[in-house]
Amino acid sequence: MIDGLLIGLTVGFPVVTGLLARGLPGVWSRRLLVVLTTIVLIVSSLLLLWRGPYTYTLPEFWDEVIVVLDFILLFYFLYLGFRIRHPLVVVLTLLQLVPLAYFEASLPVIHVEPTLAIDFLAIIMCLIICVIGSLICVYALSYMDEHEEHLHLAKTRQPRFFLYMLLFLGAMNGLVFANNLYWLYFFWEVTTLCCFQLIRHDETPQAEKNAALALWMGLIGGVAFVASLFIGYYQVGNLGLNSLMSAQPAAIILLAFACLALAAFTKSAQVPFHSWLLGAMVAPTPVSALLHSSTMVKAGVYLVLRIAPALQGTALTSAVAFVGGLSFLVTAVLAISQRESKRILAYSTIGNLGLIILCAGVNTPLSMVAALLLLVFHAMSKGLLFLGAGIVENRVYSRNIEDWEGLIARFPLISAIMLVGMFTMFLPPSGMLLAKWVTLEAVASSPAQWAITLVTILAVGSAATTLFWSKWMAHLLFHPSTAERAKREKLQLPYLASTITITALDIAVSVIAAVLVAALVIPTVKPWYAVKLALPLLNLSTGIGAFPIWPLFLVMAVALALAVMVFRAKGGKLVSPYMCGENVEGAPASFRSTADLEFNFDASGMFFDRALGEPKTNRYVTAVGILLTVLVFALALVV
Amino acid sequence: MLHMGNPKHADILLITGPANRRNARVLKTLYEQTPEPKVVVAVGTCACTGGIFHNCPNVLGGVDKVIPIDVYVPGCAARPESIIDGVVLALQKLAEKRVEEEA
Amino acid sequence: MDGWLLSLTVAVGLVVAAPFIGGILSGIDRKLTARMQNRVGPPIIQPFYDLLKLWGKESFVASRFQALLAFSFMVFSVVAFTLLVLAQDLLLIVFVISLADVCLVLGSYCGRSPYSYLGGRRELLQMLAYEPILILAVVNIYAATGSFMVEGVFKLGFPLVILLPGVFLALLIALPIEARKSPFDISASHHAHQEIVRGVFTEFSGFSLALIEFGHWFKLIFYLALLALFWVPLLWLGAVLAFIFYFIIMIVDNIFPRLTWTFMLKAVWLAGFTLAVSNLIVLALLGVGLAWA
Repeated sequence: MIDGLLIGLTVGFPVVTGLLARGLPGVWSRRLLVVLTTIVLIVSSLLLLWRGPYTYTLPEFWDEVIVVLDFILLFYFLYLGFRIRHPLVVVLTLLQLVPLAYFEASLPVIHVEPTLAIDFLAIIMCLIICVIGSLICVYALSYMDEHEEHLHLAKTRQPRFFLYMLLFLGAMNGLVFANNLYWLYFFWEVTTLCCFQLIRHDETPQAEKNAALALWMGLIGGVAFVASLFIGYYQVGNLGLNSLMSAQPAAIILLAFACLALAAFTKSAQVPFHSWLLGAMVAPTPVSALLHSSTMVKAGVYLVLRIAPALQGTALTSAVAFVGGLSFLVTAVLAISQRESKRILAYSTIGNLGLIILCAGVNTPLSMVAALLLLVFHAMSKGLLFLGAGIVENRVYSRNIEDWEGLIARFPLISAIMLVGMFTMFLPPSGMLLAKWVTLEAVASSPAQWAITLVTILAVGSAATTLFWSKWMAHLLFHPSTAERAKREKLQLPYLASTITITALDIAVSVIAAVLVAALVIPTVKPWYAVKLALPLLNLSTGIGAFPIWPLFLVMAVALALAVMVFRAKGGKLVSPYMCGENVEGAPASFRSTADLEFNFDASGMFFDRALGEPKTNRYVTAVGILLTVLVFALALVV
Repeated sequence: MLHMGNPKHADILLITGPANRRNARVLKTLYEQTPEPKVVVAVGTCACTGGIFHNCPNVLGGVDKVIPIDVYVPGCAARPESIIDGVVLALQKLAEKRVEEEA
Repeated sequence: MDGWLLSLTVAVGLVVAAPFIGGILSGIDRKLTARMQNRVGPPIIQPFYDLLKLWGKESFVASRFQALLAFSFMVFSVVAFTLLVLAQDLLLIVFVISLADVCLVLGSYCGRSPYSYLGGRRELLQMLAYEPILILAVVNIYAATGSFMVEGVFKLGFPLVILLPGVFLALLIALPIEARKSPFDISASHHAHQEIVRGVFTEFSGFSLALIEFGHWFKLIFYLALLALFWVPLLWLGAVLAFIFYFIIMIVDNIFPRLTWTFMLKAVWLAGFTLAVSNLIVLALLGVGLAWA
């Protein structure tokens, strides 16, 4: 009873409330629906965690429903292709529609036992989607009001917006539960649709253009998915992901996995396909937060993690690792050159997804643990950073981080949240750094010869990562001491609730990361790999290294308390910065120059435009990415 | 003894010229940016009283017109020995000030 | 139990002794520099007097965060060294060291001062230069010993430098950065060179500056200990050699001009990076390391 109910609540409920939010008039009904969905989703995902893994088979009737819905969806894509006059969309949709029609004509058995398989990986994903994803929806309640006020819209577009936001959550839950490849494919396409609709939400020419880009790139993944569906059905005999996983790894089965991996790369915006995620930045910020932290791109890495155990020992798995490695390296370096806050975050997302895919490709017990840790902590930290960035954007009216200079003085609370978010992205002892540490140890200890290349990539990439994050953190702190005290900023309740909850969650889960590892990560990895992980006193020990998690947090907390106490006792006089004595009174950022003229001291932010300027580098990156992807896949399938 | 180009790290300010309308502001800022305990040494007649410039329209006179001075080292130019003597005197004053502050 | 207690005592002793050694080293440094410039120079224990003096000075801050970040820099430098003497995970130690550095950079950005801003930028570039080298060095140590723990080095039974001469050289190339010495002293202009006033340190004064100086001693000793680790059963030889290398670097500091950051990045990356990576490749090809044997 509860099994079916939980699936209904996590997959069906957000779809229903989404449709209601679209249909019902009035602001308050919408707000109520979103808050209700949030509560239901969080509670049911926790219940799912309590319930543990199980499988569930739906009657065949539902398979028919999914097939019908899928064809409706594909025809809708076709219509969209004609409406936005995009030949690629039309061609790619036809490439799915025609084979599927042929497939249906041959009267296949769609039904698979079980339809849905909820294992620990699915539970982890479900928790991320339901907790982080729905908090982002709550945040969107305030954000969209401010956003539409800013755009001076005559008629609100929020009903449509929340329809797709909530639909997205439902589809993602369905995606991670599905064992039937056809179901998986259907939910996959629904997320593509939601993504397209949310990116074009503002209906500016730029938004329409970037949405189309996201659509056709997503459809490439759809085509690859259909190919693997075919191979799977005709080679294995049914559409079960579990039977595909346990099939003999012949070359043709590997081709199916390669197609799935390709689909995952399009979804996770790995390097030749990275432009859609950068383009998606035109969407309102809650959309970006949702795409980057809990849905869409996470569907790609989920799929790679799902199929990784079946790839152990094949050449394909190395190929996957290299594609991920390339994405990590390239985006870490390119992120240095970015001025726009959301683009930096986007590059960092692609890089971290690359890291997860790299770990899945390395395919050792330890690397899988690393991948799962990255998955969880990235969702929290990145979600938080996007939420913070959105709030700042609505206050400063700029996404350029050069305009965020000294934000700590103007908006201390939201700046502090941003700083915590950035801290948790790359500095010890936060969860992300713990995950990166496991990654490095896993890659270094992996038996393959190419581990050296990957380790080198990781070393360079981490240094670049440190540079762009600390640069940005420094920017926020960069303000004159004697500037006027900040007024207390007022943040609406949804803003406060969402950001503070995620911050607290992020820190708490970081501190008890060992519990997370014991309760969710090890059970996920165990069925497929022999994990040799020890958790002495809730610290992490990999057998070749050890990470004291909470002692470091304890030291940090004590140091903070001590610092505050010492400086309280010592006192501290705020003085103006040293400018050879030529400070201007009342304007702490200015100095007097020749003829007593006042000059404002402008500082630029180290973007290395000449070396890393985007239009130039992007061409090379795409070219190299395509070349490498084709090359590694060809190699992997030939070998 | 280290030569510091930064008032925030300095103990002794050594001033070698007269105060004028342009640099009075600079002198004041630098003096304020030097953390206590600190000692100011005026080196040379110009710094002490304005010297041969004392009649110039833009010159205010000695540095003591702008900030308090602890040690005067006269001479035009001040001899190296007397500068050293002045700094040693300043060191004594610095030690006294520290004791005072602690008390 | 006794062995455990002994190693803890040794660890505590080393952590307590580190700042004294660090202070005396920087005292010797000043004396040596003075003698090379035909001056008498201060007494060897002058750095301790300076530290006490800074402690007693009036406390100026550029912002509340600055004081906090100075404190964090000191704490994490100490933590990194403590983890090292407790024979903990080397990779983690490298990350903690970079955390300390990030704190310093962030502190230098507080206050919007042109000079400390320039210093902060250059400090970031210095981190960019040596961080990959440190990470690769740790991976090399793993490849040679089969463990990321410092313990592994002790269990090896023969000096690490036999297997990792390239890495040792790479760390030597990066040493001037960490020790803030020419030709790579681009971010702080130590001693009395005053190109960007005092770079990252410009806006720190009094108590915060004392904290940073204290942390810097720890970092210096940490780095020298890392070099000594390469000689492990002959730890005394390693320690002696590390000090000798430090003195060589002091002399280099006095002879060489400071170079531009582009030169630093190119030199450290080209030479250090190549050395570290080729050492790793050689280990893998020969199959001599314990990790991949």
